Formats: sequence, structure tokens, C-alpha cells
Amino acid sequence: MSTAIQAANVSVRYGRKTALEDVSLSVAPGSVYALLGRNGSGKSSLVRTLLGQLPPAQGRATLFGEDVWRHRTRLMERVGVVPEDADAPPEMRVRELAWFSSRLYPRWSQAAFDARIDRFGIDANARSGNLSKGQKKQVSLALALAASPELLILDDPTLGLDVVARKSLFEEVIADMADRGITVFITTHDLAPVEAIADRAAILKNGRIVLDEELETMKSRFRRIRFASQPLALAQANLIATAVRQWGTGTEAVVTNYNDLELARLQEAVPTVDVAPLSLEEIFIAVAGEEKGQQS
Amino acid sequence: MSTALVIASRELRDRTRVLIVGAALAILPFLVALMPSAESNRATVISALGGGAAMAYGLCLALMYGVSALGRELSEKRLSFYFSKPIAPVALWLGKTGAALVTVAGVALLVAIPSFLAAREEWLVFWGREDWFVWKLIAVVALFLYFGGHALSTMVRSRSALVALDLVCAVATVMLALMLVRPLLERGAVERVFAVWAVLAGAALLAAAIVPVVQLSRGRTDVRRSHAAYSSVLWPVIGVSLLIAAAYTMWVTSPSLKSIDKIENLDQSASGQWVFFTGTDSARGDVASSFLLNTATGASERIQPLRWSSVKFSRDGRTLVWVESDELLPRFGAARVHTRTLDGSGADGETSIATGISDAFTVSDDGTRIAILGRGQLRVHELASGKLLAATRMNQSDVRSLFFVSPATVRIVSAPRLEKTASILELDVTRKALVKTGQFAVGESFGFNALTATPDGAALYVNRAGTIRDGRTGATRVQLPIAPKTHRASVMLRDGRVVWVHDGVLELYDPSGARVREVKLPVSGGLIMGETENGHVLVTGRLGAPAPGVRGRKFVRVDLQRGAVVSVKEDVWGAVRWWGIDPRLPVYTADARFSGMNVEDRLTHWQQ
Repeated sequence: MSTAIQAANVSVRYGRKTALEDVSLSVAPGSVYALLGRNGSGKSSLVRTLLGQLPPAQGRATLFGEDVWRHRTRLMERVGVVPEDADAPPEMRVRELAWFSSRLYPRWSQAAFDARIDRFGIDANARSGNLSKGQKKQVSLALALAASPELLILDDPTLGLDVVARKSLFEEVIADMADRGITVFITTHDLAPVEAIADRAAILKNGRIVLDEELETMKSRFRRIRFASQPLALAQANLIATAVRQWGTGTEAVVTNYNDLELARLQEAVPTVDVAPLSLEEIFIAVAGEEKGQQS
Repeated sequence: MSTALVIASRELRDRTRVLIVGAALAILPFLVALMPSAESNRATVISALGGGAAMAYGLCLALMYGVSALGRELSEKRLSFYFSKPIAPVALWLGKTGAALVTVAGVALLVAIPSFLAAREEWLVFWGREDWFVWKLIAVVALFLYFGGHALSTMVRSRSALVALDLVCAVATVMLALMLVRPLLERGAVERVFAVWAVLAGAALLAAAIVPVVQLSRGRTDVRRSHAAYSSVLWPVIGVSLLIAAAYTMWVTSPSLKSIDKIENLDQSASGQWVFFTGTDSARGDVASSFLLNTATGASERIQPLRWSSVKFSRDGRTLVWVESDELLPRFGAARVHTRTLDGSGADGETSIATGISDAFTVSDDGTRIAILGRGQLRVHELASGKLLAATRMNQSDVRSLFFVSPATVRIVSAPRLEKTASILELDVTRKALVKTGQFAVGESFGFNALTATPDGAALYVNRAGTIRDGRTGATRVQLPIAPKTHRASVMLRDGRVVWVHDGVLELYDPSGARVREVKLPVSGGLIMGETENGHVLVTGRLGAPAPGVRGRKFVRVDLQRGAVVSVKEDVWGAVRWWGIDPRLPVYTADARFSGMNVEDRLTHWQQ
């Protein structure tokens, strides 16, 4: 088994609308993979496809090397899922959810579930429908983790969580998973904490993967450059800019192929160049940010 | 614990409210029985309300659970709860369905049992008849409501354009289900109709029970894909069921002449060359098939008159007339007259003459006209053109005899049930006038077959009274000193003479009432079936009491001139025209070949 998740040329359509177009990605076992994208970019469709809930119109999605559409039932024994929206029946109590899951997962750990619910301060007798959005997420997370998964798929897991819970999720839970060699696939808008734990990130834009690489590599080639000259200087230095702003005689640009050689070339033309590294959030905004006709 | 049981168990944990309502309903009959108005029949009130509430509540729950089985979670996008876990579609469906059906049955029992225990006898009278038929029916209805509710929920909740296609398919299914039993209804095969519908309903139920597994496998959490998956399997399965039912219907309605093993109706033309008969093939159930057989050539063709409606040969033996239904579902409604000219001299097939299948009709001797009695009217049409020649108001139930004395004159004997007088009427077709020509007193047994008449209608004979009357005025001509026990034990021949069969003899009287002779018969009693052109009388009867299970009779041909039995055919049922509205005795040619049924109810031919 060389990959935990693989999507090969996956396209998903809803009638005439294309949600995903020719998406390919690969997640190595034991890694933390962050899928980023704006609302409506196709993240949830991709997650549903990877969970075998949505058939690709083209291409193939596999988990642990097996076609997930065909072998979903068996594969789900190895996968923990935290869905974007709470989907547990609202009339079920937390302890009933645990009982239900315990009968389905061969490696279920009731102690782990109880401990986590206890830590979250959630009443096990509370009905799912009466929990807050954040508590529902926490229950989902506790259920997913108690199943002792080999792969954890988190679809916007911080939605509705307070700051403390978010911090706990990333710093304790996901980091712990990563340390234990469990593959984590996460979609989120919370980019700062992801940056600290993700091994690889991809950006989905309008149903297409526009960026997919190791986070370190990504961060090393993206730079914000400011210089007192026209943008033409970028081209002369063979720097590729994804976002360019001009003011007076100055230029600010985000370049995607930064390295020392190109910087030296630019400095030959423009003596004063201000170079700053980019955070993942800034890279995301530069790559997936506003376009003509697109609202944030 | 298997996954299906886990799901069922989960579903059942949340049924507290349903049980509380059930418990309240179980108590309700006892509270109603405490009312002063129920004091005299408390047990009846408890049993009626207890059983009724159990059924009604069970059916409501079945529908409710069917509608929400998957549909609610699909439309609320919560089905991913199951699909993100190692749960197979079949386990999900089985678990949910099992829990729903167990709940429905359990709650029905919860509501019913207290009233059953409190008023056991009355309860059994109300609800336990015919081997608990009502409960079995309710169980089937509950299944239909559950699976039908799920189907409707799946279709409607998806809000996709496919709903229109579903509607078209549903309408088409109903139409096809009705149309494909039409041939069965025309053949009176009510059992087969119910069998076909039961099989279709069973197939639909089975499909509706199994297709959700495909729906979940292919559609999973997407409400529209789910609907598409459901419909794309359901309708083809139902379509295949309809095709199989259609093939079965074709098979049961297409028996060969040889496979008919039970004749139930038979008539023949004067020469015996043409035989019409209706019969069933035991392998094809109660489907009656009709054939017109040319006994001279052996050629046969299938015709399909409505079962139990009349089929008539004209007295000249050249025309056959029958009615077929005009309706999608044949009932006592619209029908149409069909005709076949047996010598090939005229037009065949469907005429433009409309009728009802409960209408009576008779055909003129030359086969050119038809008189139809029904729906408060007597109408005379020309068969070839369908043209209405005359019509008059007439109550069908009053008429005892109706026949053409000539193509232009129809003779009617009418005797309203509570009146003791019969009227003789004549419809002049040319002048379109109805005239009462006479009347006579009648007794209580003056029903169908009470009369025989000469072919020209000049004389009437009241069979069981032994009275020869004037055919137009009804005036008594002769009162014979006889007392026949049945209408067909004594009849008038075409020349006005009267024969009476009784106690192993045939007595012959001339039109003046004089006893001409007595002929000893090889049968103890009998019925007079017809006469031949050369003066022979055909009698059918048994010698002594019939042996159990033996239907055969002797068919005896008597030469009236010589006063001797000419021949006897054993173990046959003759060509019978028992309930014709035409009172004239059939007249066969001298060399006529006869057709009838043998002791095994199969078709047989003989000449004697």
C-alpha cells in the first residue's frame, strides 16, 4: 500500500453542474494533508467522493489502494470521519451514538470515547439534537477517534468550535494522530494551525486542484516582493507572479518560483528589493483569492 | 450482532412515544364503554373499537415509517451518518424496515390485546372471521403503505424532474394492469384476474421491498441520485412483471380447441355443421374460451363473446350473432353486437349496434335482423347495416318471450312479476308500432321457458299448465289433461302438436288435444331438446337416479310417426338451449349431426 488516499482524474457532476474537474491527489500514509479551498470550491464533494458517498463521473478514488465506491463498507472500518455538518440523528443520545458505533467498529475504544467526552464536558445523556454546533463536532470527533482509525477525514472540523477547542483540536488531537502514524485528511478555513501540522497542502479552486505540494516546498517558493520599479522587472528576472499590485512607481507581487538566483537577477535590475516569506493563509489568498466575478 | 440488527435495535430504542400513544389507544375502548349509551353492549363496543383502533393505528404507523424510512434523512442530508460508517446498504434497509414492521405489528398487538382479553367472544366475531382474513389483509395493506410510502417519499422529496416520469410510469402501469386483464374479464375469469393482479401486486411489493437496497447502493447520500437509482430499477422491474403477466394472460386466453376439457355452454346450427361452444382448460383456471367449429371440415376459430352473454344461431342456420364488450374493463356496461355469416354470403365482424351485456336479444329466422331488449327499450336493428328500424319502451324484467314471427313482426309475451296476467304484444317493425294483441292468466311459475310457440307464432303453449293458446290473443284453445313437472318436460312442436315426457314414456297430443300415442322411452324422465325436420323428437334424460359424479344422460331420438325410439346415444349432454328468450323449439335437419358433452365434459359429436 503506497497511498492512504488517492484520487485519479476525478470529476464529479451534479446534473449539468461540474463540482470537480479532473482532480488528482495522493496522500501518503501517516501524513497530514490539508485541502484548502473557498466556499463552493468543491471540497465537500471531494470528501464525499473519498468517503464513497458520491460516485465520480470520471476517474477513481481509492483508500488504502481499494476503490472506495466499490468497497466503502469494508474500508469505512478503517476510517474515522468528522463531517462538515452534524449528521447524527437528533433524537440519539451521546451514549447511544457511542453504543451504535461500538457495534460497528472492530477496534472501538469505549474508554477513549468516554475520556474525550468527559474532557469536552459533554453530558453523555444529552440528545444529539440538543447539543451546540461545537459540541456536535466534538462528539463526532470523539466517535471518529474512538474507532481507532487508520485514516481520519475531517471536513471543516473547527466550524462552530471556540478558540480553546480549536487549539486543542490541532495541537493535541491532530498532532497526536500524526505522531501515531495515522493519516489525517483535513479540509478547513482555519489555515494558521494547519500550517503548523500539515505535511502537504492542496488548494482547490473552482473544482480544480491548482496547487498540491509539500508545505515546506510551497512555502519556500512563494514570496512577497516589493521593489521600486515597474512589474516588467519581474519578467526580466524570470519570476512568476500570481498577484501583482502597483502603486506609483513601486510594485508588490507574490511570486511562485522564488529562489536566490531569480532574486539576484531581479536585484541586478532593481537595487532595492524587499522580500518576505508568506504564510499559508497568504499563499491561499494569493492563489485562491478574489477574481473577477468572484465574491469573498 | 449483525449490522442490520444494530440498526434495527437503534431504531427501536426511540419508539417510546409511539408506545405511549398505543397504550392510550388500548385504554380508549374501555373508556368509551363506560359511557351510558354503551351500557347495553359494552363487550361489542370494546371489541369493535379495540380491533379498529389497532388496525387504524398500525396502518398510520406503517405509512408514517414508510415515508420517513430513508426519505427524511436523505432530504435532511443526514444519511451520511450511516454511510460514513461500515454499514452495507442492505443492512441499513433491513434494519430500518425490520424495526418499522416490528413496531407496527407490536403496537397493533399492544392496542388490540386488552380488548381481546376483555371481550374475547365478541372480538372473534368482529375480527377473527374466516381464519383472521381481515388481519391478513391489513398486514398486506400495511406492507403496501410502508413500501409505497417509501417510494412516494423518495420520489417527492427529490424534487427532481424525474417525478414527472414516475407519474407517467405509474399511470401507464395502472392502465396496463387494467388492460391486460381485459381479455380475462371478457372471458369471465374473475379468479384469474385476481390471481394476475395479486401476482402483479406481489411483484410490485417485492420490487418496492428490494429496490431500496439498490437505491442505497447507487444513490447513497444524494437525494436525487437516490431517486434516480430507485426509479431506474423499480419501473423496469414492474415493466418486466407486466410483460410476464401479459404473457401469462396471452397463454391462458389462447387454449387450443383440443385442450378444452370442460364444456360449459354449447349451441349448434340447424344442420349441426356449425357448433359454438364455450369451455375451460383446467390448466388455465376459470378462463372460458369460445370456439366456432365447422364439424364438416374440422376447422375452428376463436370468437370471444362476453361470458354468460347469449350467442345465437339464426333458425336458418346461416348466421351467428353474439356480443363483445366495448369497455376497457368489461362490466355490465357497453357492448357491441358481432355477427358471422356462416355460408360466407354476408358481412362479418363488429356491427355498429351497441348493446349492454345484460341485454337480451333474439335474431330473425333469416338472420337479417336483431331485436334487443334492455335498458327500458326494445330495439330492432338491421344486422348488416346496424340501422335502427324500430324502438319502443319496454321493461326487460317483465318480458318472458321475445321472437320474430317474421322479419317485420316481433312477438312479445310480457308478464310483470306481481301480476297474474300475461300480455301478448306485437311490434310492427315497418309501422314502428307496438300493439297489445291479447292476454291470458298465468300462475306463479310463469318464468323463462314457461312457453313454447309454433315458428309462425300462431299458437302458444304454456308448458307446465298444458294449455294451448292462440298465439296472438292468448285465448285458450285446448287444455290438456297433463301436469308436467318441469318447463321442458312438455313442449309444443312446430306443427302445433304437444309432447310430454314423464315416467319413462312420451305422450303425443294433437293440436285439438287428442292423445295420439304413447312411446316407451329408455329414460325415466327427461327434457325435450328439439325436433327434426322429418318428425323426430329429441329427448335427453336418465334412467333412474343419477349415479354420484356421473353427468351423462341418454340422448334419445323418437320417431313420432312410427311411435318408436329410433336411436339412443349414451352418456352425453345434448346441445342445450335452456334459457333462450325465443320460445320456439329448435328444429334440426333430418340428417343433423349433434354435438354435446360426454361424461367427462368434453366435446363430442354424433349422428343418430
